[in-house]
Amino acid sequence: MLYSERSSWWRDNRGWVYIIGAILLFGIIEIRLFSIQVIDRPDFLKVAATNRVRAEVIEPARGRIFDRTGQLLVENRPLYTLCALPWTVKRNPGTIISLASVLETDADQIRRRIGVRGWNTFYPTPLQRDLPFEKLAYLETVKRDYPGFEFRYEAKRSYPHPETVHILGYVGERSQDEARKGRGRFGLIGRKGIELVYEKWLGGEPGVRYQQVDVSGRITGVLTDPPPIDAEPGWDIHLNIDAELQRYACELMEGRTGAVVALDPRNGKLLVLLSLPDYDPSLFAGVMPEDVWNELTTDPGHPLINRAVQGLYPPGSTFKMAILAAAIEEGIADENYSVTCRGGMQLGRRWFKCWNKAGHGTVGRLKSIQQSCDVFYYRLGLALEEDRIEKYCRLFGLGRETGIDLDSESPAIIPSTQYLDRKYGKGKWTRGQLANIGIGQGDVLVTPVQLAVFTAAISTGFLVKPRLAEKLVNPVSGKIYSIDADIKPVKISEKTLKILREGMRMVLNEPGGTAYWLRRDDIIMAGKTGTSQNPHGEDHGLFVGYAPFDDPCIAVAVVVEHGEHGSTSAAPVAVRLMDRYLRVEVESAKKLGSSLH
Amino acid sequence: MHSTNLRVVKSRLNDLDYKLVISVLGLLLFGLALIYSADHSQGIKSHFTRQVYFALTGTVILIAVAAIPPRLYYAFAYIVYAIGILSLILVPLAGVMGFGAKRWLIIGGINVQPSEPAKLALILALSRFLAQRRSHVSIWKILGIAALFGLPPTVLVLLQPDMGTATVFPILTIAMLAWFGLPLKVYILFLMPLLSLFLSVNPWIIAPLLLIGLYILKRSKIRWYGIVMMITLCTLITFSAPVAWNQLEPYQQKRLTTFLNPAEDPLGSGYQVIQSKVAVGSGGLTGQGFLEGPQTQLRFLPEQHTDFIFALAGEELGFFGTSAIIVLFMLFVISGFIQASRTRNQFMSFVAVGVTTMFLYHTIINIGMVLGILPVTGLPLPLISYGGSFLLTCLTGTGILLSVGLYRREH
Repeated sequence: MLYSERSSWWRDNRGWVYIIGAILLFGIIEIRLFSIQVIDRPDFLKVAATNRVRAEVIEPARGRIFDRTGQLLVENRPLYTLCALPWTVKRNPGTIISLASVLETDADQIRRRIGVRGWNTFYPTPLQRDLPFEKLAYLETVKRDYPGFEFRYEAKRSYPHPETVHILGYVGERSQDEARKGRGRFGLIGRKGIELVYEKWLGGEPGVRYQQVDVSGRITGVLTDPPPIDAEPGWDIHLNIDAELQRYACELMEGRTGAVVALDPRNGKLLVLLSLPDYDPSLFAGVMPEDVWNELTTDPGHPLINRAVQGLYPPGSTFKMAILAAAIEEGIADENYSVTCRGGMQLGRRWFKCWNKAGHGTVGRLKSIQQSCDVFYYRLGLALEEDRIEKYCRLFGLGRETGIDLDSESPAIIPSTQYLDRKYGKGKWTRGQLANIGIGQGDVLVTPVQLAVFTAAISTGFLVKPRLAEKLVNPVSGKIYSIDADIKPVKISEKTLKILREGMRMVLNEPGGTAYWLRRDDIIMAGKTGTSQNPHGEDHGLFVGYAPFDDPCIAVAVVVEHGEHGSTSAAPVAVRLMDRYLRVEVESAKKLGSSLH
Repeated sequence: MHSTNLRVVKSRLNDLDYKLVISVLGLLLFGLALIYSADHSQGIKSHFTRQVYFALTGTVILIAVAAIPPRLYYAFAYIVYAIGILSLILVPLAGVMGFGAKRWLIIGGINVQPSEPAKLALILALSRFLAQRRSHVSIWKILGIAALFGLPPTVLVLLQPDMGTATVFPILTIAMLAWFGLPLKVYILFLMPLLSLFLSVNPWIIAPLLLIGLYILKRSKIRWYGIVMMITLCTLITFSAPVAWNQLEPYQQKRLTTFLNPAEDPLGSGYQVIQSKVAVGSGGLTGQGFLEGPQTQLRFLPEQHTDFIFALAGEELGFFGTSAIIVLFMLFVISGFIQASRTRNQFMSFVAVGVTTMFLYHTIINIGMVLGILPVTGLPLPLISYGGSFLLTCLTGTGILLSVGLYRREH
């Protein structure tokens, strides 16, 4: 085909063909525009909103904690946290290095923290909590150079009564998982103690504020639609603990290791719950540095363990009331039951010593408690055998969780046949072990809080559930949620309990009692000393007691690790504590009485 | 003498294409306003100021260029083409890098993108070649020589690499050849290899089309060995397409795959398309208001001065605003094609078609990209996108179009 053969029709009409072609193309564009801008607009508006609207969690104020007299045990102090928006910071990697030098940390550590949260790269991730004031001030002036970094205000905990640390526990940083479940909450969360157990109440409900952000996540304004939802502050908790008494107990235990538990035997309200050694609660107020944490966890004194609920001790002679109760109830030790103590007893090839080498002579039920004759209880242990002992211990609340409102409570161990068979193998354990159980040694292990509940049960005939919290108060509405006492009668006859009480009274009030030297003229106390053998060192000294004898309103259990004799180490602590409490109670009762007139 | 001159000027002004003038002015003003808004989102004014200077310079050039008579264009067509190709050759030797490609030359302290004026150079050269009166020349020879004109700029720009701009040169060549007039079988002969590129992608649609093509070729008295060669070529292309795909730069592959499925890469190149559609879609009928589009002002919209500026218009000015821009473009393109068919000057007719096609192609490709119906190629929107080289090229092209009108009565 040649150039000259071209169609003349095309030459006349090609302009129209091009114009119509162009109109068709523009027509397609116009239709597409209409469909996007008019028909699908609502969908795109929604996407646009999620693009630029960021929901920011408003951290609620954490609830405060008070003692029974209204003294503040935990309050909130302001804390500034440096946060980073991973999305923005990852696009400005240079800022990480210069920021690391300002913060005097490792750039990799910052990168790790930013990298960890994959779930929302547009959400601020806490980098460093509790920024020192100088750094805060400096960063505030140069914040333009650090896109993606911002400050958040939070509250840290402040503990004016460090001796309550094992009760209150501590807070810690939220894990990635917890933050997700908490819909992006970043504030501290209860990790131990009251802070953990009552997290749901103390934590409050986070609010939300909608912010307009630009593409790099910088906040450009606060939106009023949708309206912000205010945070609901956490509930305040009022404890039954008496901060003054707790401090006094701490003074009495000065330099010792061990635990003190005091409660009101009528309702289970815990007045004192002390575990030593403890640690400085302010370490946990904001963010725990790793080296401090390592130091605490590797400390040979195990300061992080709450001995009151986690410490397992052989109860020693304090166990003897349980054995005697069992023996009486089972008809083994009647009124006329007596044992002759010659400073020990032969069992098989072994001589089982009484603590008193001279011997107690003829020992009846009351004297067995008062003078704590071991031979008497070797015999009862052998007569009762493990399963009957276990049964009565359980009635007293020993060997099972008391249900205290603290975490990681141990049930401890009261051996049963099943337990001993499992531990030593069927038939591999001896009658000597049974005799030892009779005096609260060997395989028997209890916690101090169990001993306190046990003592309270003897004193009143009721088994109580120990409670730290008295009531929860909503700081906004003033609404009060009281924690009711949980009391059950002990399934042991009053007659038997009376014998136990009388024996315990004699310990402190009759010559020959193991704690007679601590007697008070004006207040009649009852108690029982204990010394438990410790394979790892000096014997532990124990004491359980209650007062006043005829109207008990305080029951105490004291364990002094390596205290050697209960009567000299633990008993003075318990007696002085009860004495102080009752005097203060009497004083306030007097005051109350006078104000009524 | 004096009065004659005046009469000439008057009659010339009667031939001034006011539709073109209005559309160009309108688009320029829209462009400056949108760049102002894009700058506003960053709290700056620098792009706006520079674009104003470019627009003023460009307008002066436009007026000057419009006054140049066709014979001068004709005389210098090949020289301009040679200069254009030379400058493109200089780019890899003395150019500067940017966005992963070498596209710029620095001339007198200003970054110039030679691929933009090269478009006009190709138009001029091709026009001169196609406008020459010949007899007894084979259509194949004309096709071959036209391809020889179009190939160098295409290859040189592809090497930069700038695939988007490189597609402009073949498109211009094809549009001008089509204006020249080609028999149906020529289109078929070229379309078939192109279609067979996608045979492996969707054989159920492509294969019947290829069969229809073969049927038409047979009817057009193509000799049997011609058809055999066609089939061989198509087969070869079908099987080499996947190989060619692997030869593409990763970013080019990504653009194509992202175009097919933007959600696949929501933070990479798909991000741009998604954000662009969101911005356009949230505009509605009347828009969010000038300087008040959240997607734009909070900079969620990427490349908002340049490639995605139409999305800014979509968000802030709404459907009415975007439609106004479309109408102005249509006015421009239709006027251009009218000039092309009205002029008695064969050479200027081709020039007009070339310039108008360049506008049409850029406009459709750019807006199609913004609206997510075409792949992200990085072609700017004529007269509106920020960028000096392209704006000056567009205004020069418009000046040439005006010149076509002014001298349309002269042969």
